[in-house]
Amino acid sequence: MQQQALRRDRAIETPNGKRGSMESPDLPWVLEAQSITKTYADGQERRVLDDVSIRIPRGGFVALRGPSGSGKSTLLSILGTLDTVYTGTVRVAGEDVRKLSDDELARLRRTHIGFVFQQFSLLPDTNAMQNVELPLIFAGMRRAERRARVLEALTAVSMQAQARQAVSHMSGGERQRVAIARALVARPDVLLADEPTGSLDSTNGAQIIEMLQQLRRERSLSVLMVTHDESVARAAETLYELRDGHLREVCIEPLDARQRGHEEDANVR
Amino acid sequence: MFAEAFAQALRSYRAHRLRSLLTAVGVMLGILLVVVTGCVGAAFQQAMINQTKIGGERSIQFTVGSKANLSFHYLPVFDDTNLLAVASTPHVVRTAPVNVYYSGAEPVSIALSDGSQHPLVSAVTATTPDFFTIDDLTFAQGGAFASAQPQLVVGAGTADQYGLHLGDQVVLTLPQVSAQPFTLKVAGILARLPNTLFGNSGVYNNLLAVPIALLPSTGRYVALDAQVDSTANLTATESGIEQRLNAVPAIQVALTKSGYQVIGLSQADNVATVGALLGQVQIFVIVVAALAAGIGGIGIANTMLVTITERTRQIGIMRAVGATRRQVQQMFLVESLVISVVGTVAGILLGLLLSTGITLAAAFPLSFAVWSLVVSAVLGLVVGTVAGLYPASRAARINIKEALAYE
Repeated sequence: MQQQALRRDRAIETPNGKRGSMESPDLPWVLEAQSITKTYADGQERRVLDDVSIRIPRGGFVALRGPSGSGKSTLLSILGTLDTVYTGTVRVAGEDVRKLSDDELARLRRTHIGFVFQQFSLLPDTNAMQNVELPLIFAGMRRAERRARVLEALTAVSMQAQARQAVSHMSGGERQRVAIARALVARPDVLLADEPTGSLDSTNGAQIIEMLQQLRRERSLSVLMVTHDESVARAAETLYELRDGHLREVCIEPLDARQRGHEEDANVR
Repeated sequence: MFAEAFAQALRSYRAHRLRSLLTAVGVMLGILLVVVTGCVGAAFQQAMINQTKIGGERSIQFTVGSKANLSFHYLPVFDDTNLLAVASTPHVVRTAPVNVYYSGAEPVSIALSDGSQHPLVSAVTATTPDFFTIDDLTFAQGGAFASAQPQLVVGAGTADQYGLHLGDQVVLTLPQVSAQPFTLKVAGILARLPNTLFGNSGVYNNLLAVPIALLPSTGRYVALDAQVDSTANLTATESGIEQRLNAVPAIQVALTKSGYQVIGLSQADNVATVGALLGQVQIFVIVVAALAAGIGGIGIANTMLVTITERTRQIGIMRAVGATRRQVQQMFLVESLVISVVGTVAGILLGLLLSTGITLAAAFPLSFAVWSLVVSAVLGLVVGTVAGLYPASRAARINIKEALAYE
């Protein structure tokens, strides 16, 4: 019941700025990209993404891996509407982002997409609360309502006690929790996480992944995560690999099967 | 949104306290200049007005000369017909003919009761008793002379200079009028007037006036003094009489070669002249102040550009979490305005403090030029807005992806 209540109240405005429609269209995909091609022309033309298509199902957990410079972050930027220079089609909550103005894209981001970056990307000289309330400020939410929502988001990442603590005095794990709370506070459909555990030690990294899994279950949240970490990639339901500009789905091997494989290799040797 | 932008601006201000403060000081100096100029100028003007009140707020003296630079000359061009014409003008309540005699080739001298004789440095004024009422003069001792009586009235300075007391007898030699000296009794000593930079206090302190009726009549006067019923009618009456006297054929003939014309001089003329002079000075200083504030604005723009470069990543974060370009622009515009407002408020307060100090030190009456405060406030807002516009729009145009990758 509590989850339903959260879901009903999640969107605070629609991408075109009209209030009233509180729920995204009931589509199976929250994020959908078709035939994305991205070329960089720095000196010589370099095709980073070549006819890439991907769909993020509602409530799904998708991981994206690939070697450094393979275009993972570029793809994430395009899916998150941060980069608009490409060919192909991106739909967020059923909305073709090409048809939206810059202001509408901003509204789309704060309504449907939550971002978590590797370097936390928190505003310095502020506390946890001031960081988390940022998307709600831009949405024009009233202070009292905003404060309640911020506390709810901080509670979800177990950081309510540090609400007024300066982020500069926090550990890496705590900062990433604040960053996740900020990504969640507007109750988005999908969380785009660019190596969220990349700057954390293994214990903190595991806790963050566990937290994301739990939030995903509780809130029917979709997660698309770029990662280098094999264990993180295995936590996903779907794993994609980006290599030489091409995207392919990778079959996730269960841990015991992999271990068995290693043991067999050892026997052969 | 404005409250949050303001809060963010204050955070930024605190984070770079020295830089923001120095930038605000640039604006403050310009504003300070405007306020000090305005307030000290207003106080100076008020002091001038107070000084010009000496000699009667409702009095006009008609002489010949040039009104443009307030220069006048004592030429005997007026006669009794002219005096009558002035006296019969509506709103004129009293008039007095005036002749003035200076020492020249034939020295004017005064012999005192002890037998000593002194050349007279100041002029001798021949007039009627109404002169003292018209010029609003008060007596320390005695009163005005009676018409055609062998009496004289002296200013406090003249009394001091010759050691004159009420009732003393003096012998005045006035060769321009008569070969025979006049034996006169001191009928009144004027109250001492404060020495002023501007105005007539010196003339009255050094006055030596005798009844015009006592002297052989020449039928000619160098000046006609008049008093109007109220200050509201001063300017109109003055210009009406000027026109009337300038149209008199005899006067026109007398003034043909000189190039002068009949002019009326009153307190209103003095105030207007002082006001025009101060106005020009104030316009000049305001232009300088506006330039100073403009330089302050360039300082703000420079600081804002540095701030935006430093906070490129923050701008990327804000845009990523849903800030529109306009919201980013607003945020930095508010920040620019906060610096400008801090400078403006500090400039106004310090300006008021400084101008009060200067005004008190110069013994001018305290006067606050509200216009200078309004100009300062508007200038501060304009400087803050204009200086912030370019940096703010630059912040709004930052590429989100590049901003997020900015180290």
